[in-house]
Amino acid sequence: MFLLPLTLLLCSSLSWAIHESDVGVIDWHKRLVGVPHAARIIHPENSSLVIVPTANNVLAALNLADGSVAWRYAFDSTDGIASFHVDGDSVVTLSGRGATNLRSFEANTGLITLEKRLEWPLSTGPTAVDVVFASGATFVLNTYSIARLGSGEVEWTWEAEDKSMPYTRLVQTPTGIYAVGLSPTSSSLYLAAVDPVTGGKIQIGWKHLPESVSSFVVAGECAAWVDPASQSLGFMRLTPTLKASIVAEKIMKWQELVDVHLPDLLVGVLTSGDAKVLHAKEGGVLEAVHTFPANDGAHTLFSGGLDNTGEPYVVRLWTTADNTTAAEIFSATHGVAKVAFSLGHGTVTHLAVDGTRLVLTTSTGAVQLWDQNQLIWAREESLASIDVAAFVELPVPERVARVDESETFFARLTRQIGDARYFPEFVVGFAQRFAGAPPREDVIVSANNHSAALARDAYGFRQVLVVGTAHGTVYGLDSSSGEILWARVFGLGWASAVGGTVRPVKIFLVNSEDGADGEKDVVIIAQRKASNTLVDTVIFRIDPVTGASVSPVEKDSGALLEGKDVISGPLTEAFLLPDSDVILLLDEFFQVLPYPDTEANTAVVTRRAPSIFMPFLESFEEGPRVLGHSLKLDPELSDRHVAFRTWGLTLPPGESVKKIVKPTPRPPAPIASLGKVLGNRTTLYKYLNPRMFVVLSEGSGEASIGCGVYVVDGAKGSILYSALVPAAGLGSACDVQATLTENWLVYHYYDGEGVGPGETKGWRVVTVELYEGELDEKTRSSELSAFSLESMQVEPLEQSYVFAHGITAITTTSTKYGISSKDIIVATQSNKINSIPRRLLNPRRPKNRKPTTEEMQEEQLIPYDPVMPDDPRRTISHNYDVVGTRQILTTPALLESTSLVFGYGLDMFLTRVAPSGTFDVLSESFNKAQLVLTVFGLGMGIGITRPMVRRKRLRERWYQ
Amino acid sequence: MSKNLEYSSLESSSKWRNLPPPPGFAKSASSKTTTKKSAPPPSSYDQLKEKRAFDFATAPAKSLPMQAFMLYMSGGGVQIFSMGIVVMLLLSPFKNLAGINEAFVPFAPSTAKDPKAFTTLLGQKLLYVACNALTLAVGLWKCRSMGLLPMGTGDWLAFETRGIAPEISLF
Repeated sequence: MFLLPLTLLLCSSLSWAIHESDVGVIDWHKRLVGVPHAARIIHPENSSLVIVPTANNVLAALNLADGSVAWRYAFDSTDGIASFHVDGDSVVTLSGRGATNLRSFEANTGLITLEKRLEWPLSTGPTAVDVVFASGATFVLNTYSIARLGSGEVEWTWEAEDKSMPYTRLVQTPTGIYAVGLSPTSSSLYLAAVDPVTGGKIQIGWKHLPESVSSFVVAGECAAWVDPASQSLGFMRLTPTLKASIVAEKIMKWQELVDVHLPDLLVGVLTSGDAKVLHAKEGGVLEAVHTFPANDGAHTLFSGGLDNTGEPYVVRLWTTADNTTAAEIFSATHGVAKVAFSLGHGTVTHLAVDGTRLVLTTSTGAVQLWDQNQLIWAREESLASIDVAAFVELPVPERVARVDESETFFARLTRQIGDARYFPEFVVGFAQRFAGAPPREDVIVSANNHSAALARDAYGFRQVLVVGTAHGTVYGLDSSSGEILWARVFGLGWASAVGGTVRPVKIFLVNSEDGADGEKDVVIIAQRKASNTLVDTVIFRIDPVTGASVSPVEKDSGALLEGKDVISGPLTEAFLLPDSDVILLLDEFFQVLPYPDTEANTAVVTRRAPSIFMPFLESFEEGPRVLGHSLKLDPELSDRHVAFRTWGLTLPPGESVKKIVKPTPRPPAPIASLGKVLGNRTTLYKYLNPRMFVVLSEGSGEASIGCGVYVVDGAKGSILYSALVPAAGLGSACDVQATLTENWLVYHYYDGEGVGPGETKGWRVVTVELYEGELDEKTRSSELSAFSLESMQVEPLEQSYVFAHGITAITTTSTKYGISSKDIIVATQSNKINSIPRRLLNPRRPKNRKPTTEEMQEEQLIPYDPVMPDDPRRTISHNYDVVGTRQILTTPALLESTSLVFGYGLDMFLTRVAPSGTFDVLSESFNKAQLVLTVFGLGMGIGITRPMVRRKRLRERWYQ
Repeated sequence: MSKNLEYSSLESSSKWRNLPPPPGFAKSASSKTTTKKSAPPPSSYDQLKEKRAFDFATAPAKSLPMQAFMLYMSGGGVQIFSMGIVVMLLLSPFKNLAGINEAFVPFAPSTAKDPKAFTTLLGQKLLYVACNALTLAVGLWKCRSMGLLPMGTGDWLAFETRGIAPEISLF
């Protein structure tokens, strides 16, 4: 154990904690909540909040004033939000399997005031839950049972004797607590009246209703429904005896009822298109208080809400024929207000109202607040569900961009004379830079600096981050600040007539077609699922700087982004052919379609086909399998190359493939060193098989055999390295995270098996390095054919460490030339992004002995320590709460030392790291003035002493 | 206040110049004694020279312990002192060997036709070469221990190149 302080000491020289002055300058963090499933506005003291449960399983409160996140709570992935209920100052959620977990949040702060697991009798059917609040207590309904919670304890539980009557709604009136349920099969209305104080049953009953009753709503003391067959509205009053009779209203032709979540208001829609706001009065009477006239629009939505004085509002919103969004807001005291605005793209999916202010969620994942027809704020919440992301370097400014090599002498002369007008600017800039004065932003791009125009900076820290989301949107983000540079919505092509969704699958960077050097286009391959179940593969080719479509060329970049249909059918896989701009698309019949589909590209495919191997996952009845494919051209089958299976990865029985981990970075970075030089100058040659990838498997069935980690050769499917690690627990899923770069594999898992003495449960991180053989033994693996015998000669070195955190994502840093060491970047379950230095993960750390002088000096080896200390200085995300990171993307900056790290999932976080230190930049504290003064002083000294020395020498000559 | 003292005037242009020397003073006393001494016979003179030549040839080896001590004191790091000593150790043998014929001219026997020829004093010269080689070896040994000699494969790793693998796997 005495080695631990030594280890810490040694590590401290290389671990760079983030300086406080760098926070917000080199990094940025965007707190997101996800696309809301619903929205409810509440007014706790001194504030107005929008409470949203979201698609990312987060409950969040947004400040109504500016749209910022007041608080949020990320539920565990196994603990899905079943329902949420608001009551004045508290928000109650039911979550988890069977909606058994109850949490109560303080609305202002988001603090959990109560967290309780409610025990319900098992129900076979679907679970229905409802919550009402009355006189300081909370009543919870769960299908067959009602529980009353007061001051954190379950005071009583009432359980229905007849388990054939599921209840869906809970109603509280001064007379009692009622559970109401509508049977979908037997067209009966189940009712139960329960004493709110004792939990005793008052009465149980059921009412026979006409068949095909739909849109069942409870408001005030009334349960109301519409019978589409007779187009009549039926309702009944809830009394403790349950004896009230059903009243039917048949004069008007009713179509449906809409619950607007107000205590005693509901909306009834007539077949004529009119909509009536119905008031459920005391005594069980429904009265129409307002009529929304019929309109021409589609997508009608109703919503209700209370403003901060408690005044109820009901709003009807629709999209007019000319694609503007119109809304009518009704309140009893303020009458009717009409607003109309243009949403841009998408349709409104959820709506909440507060006075004349509307909070909308759109189908493109945006949350917006409109006041009258003014957009007050907008949140792009689709960024919480990023599917594909890529960094794109900004193009070189035009005037230094490129010199045509064939230009004539006179052309060059005129160009250079023309360029001379920049000379004064250059001199000023040079002098400024020399004097150490600003402009600093030009050099060190700051996250706080939003004003600067989009230009490439000297160090390449500023890049465009192109992200495609599951909601069919694509954004260009400024990597220096996280600002949205442009946002586009995928068009549906022919499917716009029937509707559908577009989901990006892959993203590639290709050189732009007009040939300007360094300029890249972003190619997004997306799957379009039309509402009529047809699936197409569409390619969008975008200019990353402006977001405009490159192919097909578009005039108006404000419209929907239209792509090019390339395959009328689903896509199997898509690959970018290395060292070319050709993308290979595999359709469902495994035919290879080059993109762009030109003669030249077809020729490229034909030429390179014999050397191409494609391993990917295919799903079969018994589960997914990893299969390798080659290409062949069979004119009898198809005029295109067809991929055919050449090998299949056979796993031990009971194991199935879970995931493929591709080697990072993509596209491959140059490899700086072919081996590892040891202290005694001998070399371990790295096993640099460029076809290696990782397959993670999991044991299936009850007797889980563990989780497999395999390194597989992509051309012939042979296993180069394999390990079997225990699953997180008996019967639980495998949660292995792995990353592979060059010859280095790092994986992380939870070991729940260590129960004996000297063993420990906990997370492990394992580092594996693959070598060509023993010391000085080489097979030249990186140029070997996969089918040569020597390619199977692999010598793994591995070590395992106890790690302090569970992780959700893992990757390595990547730099331009691969000279800087590579650190491991992990996103921990404690919502931090950490970097683990390469030195700590060196599998040659000597065990049970001290490293020799040579090893210490030359290799900087530190003694092995089974516990990897949890050093907070390795956190690169400062004190941000980076929630739900699913994926980390790293990309090189122009500086060799620096790598950009972008984590996404729920939140977005970007920073830059320098694994080997910023050896290629002068530190900020470097004293430029001192250097200049010293040089100047030395020059002066020479200038003064030179004539003196010369005179003296002359005199010496004379007197010799 | 400095005054130039011109003693030269005392010698040449003094008025006492023509005075007879004091009694017992002989102006060429020393030259007379040398001439009086009989020169040793050339053979024994050559023997002496040969001996001196041997001494000269083994001189580099004799200074080795001193240099080794200096090397030890200068340490194993790559610094200005250790580098200076190592450079000296590495360069001096070559310098010595380049001037080997000139260096042995004073020791050439009187019988030698051409004192600058390599064949004169061949044995001593070969010994001299060997001793210098010893110095060089010590210098190289020091270089190696400092890690300056490319001895292992690791030193040549940066120059190794690899071609492109015949198969590619797309991911």
